[in-house]
Amino acid sequence: MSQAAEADLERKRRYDRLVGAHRADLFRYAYWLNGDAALAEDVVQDAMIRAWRSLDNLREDAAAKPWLLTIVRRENARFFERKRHETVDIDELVGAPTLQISSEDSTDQDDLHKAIGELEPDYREPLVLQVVLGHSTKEIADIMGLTNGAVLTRLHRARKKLIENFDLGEPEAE
Amino acid sequence: MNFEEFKEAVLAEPNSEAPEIMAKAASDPECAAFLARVQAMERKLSAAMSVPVPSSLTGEMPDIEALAEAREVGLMNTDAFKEAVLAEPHRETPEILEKVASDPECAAFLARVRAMELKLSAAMSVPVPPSLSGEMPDIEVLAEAREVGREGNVVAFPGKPSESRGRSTNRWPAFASLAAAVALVAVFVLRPPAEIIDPDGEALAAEVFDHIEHELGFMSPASVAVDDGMFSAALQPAGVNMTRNDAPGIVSYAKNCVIDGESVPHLVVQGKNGPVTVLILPHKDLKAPVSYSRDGLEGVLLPVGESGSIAIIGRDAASVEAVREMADSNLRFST
Repeated sequence: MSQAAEADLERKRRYDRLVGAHRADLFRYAYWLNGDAALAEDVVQDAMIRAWRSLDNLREDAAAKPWLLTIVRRENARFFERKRHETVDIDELVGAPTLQISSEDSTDQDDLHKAIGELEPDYREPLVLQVVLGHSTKEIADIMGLTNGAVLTRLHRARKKLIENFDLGEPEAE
Repeated sequence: MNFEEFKEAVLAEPNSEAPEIMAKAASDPECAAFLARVQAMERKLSAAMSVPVPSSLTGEMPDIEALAEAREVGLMNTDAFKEAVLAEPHRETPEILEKVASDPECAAFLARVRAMELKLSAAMSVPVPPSLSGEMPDIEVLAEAREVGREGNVVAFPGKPSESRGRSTNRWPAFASLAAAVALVAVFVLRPPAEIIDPDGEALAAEVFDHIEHELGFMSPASVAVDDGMFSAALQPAGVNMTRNDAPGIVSYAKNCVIDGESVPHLVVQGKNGPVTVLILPHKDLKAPVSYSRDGLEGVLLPVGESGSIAIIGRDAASVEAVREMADSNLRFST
């Protein structure tokens, strides 16, 4: 095998290792950015291709996840610019059987899913980065280009709104 | 001293009784009247500026060392506590822990927010489509295919079954319903390691890692345990009876999950070297222990009882090993 072919193979292996480990997270992030499973799948596929083309810009493998999330974020914004899509009606989301997690508590789950979908995107995004992807406040701040304080405020308001809008058996938050 | 110099001196120090001031006021009625007006204004000014002093700063002097300690841990009021908990439900600063210990209302608030967090996590964990799971596609083939089919539709990866598109169709099967509680009859004890290699062990480990990847946020240091109700709710659907005292550390997260159609208790245990995730798998048999690592996580799967196993996963081998040691020596599941 020539040196160039070996280098190419190694590059593909690196790509598969780094991107393969995070595809599920990228999808969930994209889903909660745009609220549409099919569109999220589109966005992630395009983001994967963009990541492949710019893989050499990623110097540290350890930074792969935030790097990929940033690509998905930009790709999602590009998609809306390009297609001038409108955000899908949240009622369509709630009715989609793909969104059920388990048959037990499905009504409760759907209601909460709807309440999350009704959050402003500015509040929903840090929530998915924290709850689903397990990022720290600082990492969220880096991904979203915000200060730590702004992230904390958005997270606090997001949960407060969920408590207000969704019956969680919760008395007044404040 | 002329009149202008007199006014300047009086406005600077209205209550001054300097000889020049007193002499000028005595000899000049206009200066005397000006001095009287300024001194009257001064009395009103003094009354208006006298704000009440809080009780903590009147009366007996406090013990200064006790005050210093209280200020160190007691800066957080209830509103600030709630705000902090709603922003980061699993963060435990000394201020938050002190507030939880000293204020039952705040302790109850934290428990409720963490219970909500479980629902939130479940509601946000949407299923991943087949095109984004399983084997990685050849990226160049994908790029070419998407270039050709760029109509806004997802391209089915080569070798993968193509799917119908559109939001209203059932593109993925809903997660399997929770399995009925299984009546286990054995007392689970850890089996000694076997020499043979279990070919299914790695597949099970991979499945377990797939499951926990979207709940990693709960695997963080914590010192507040879940309550008994939450703990029981996590275990009972799987038919597992176990008390919190049986767990090898504080259980800071407990949820019932479904893996491969079976009900599985999912716990986060605070081990001596850090938090680990423990999955109790009463229906997954293993022939031998399996070690597995992926994406910065370390894990071990251990055979338990006649036909079950447990998985212990942490961010490093030391945290896993600490809980494994305790599990080896202490763990008994009775059902």
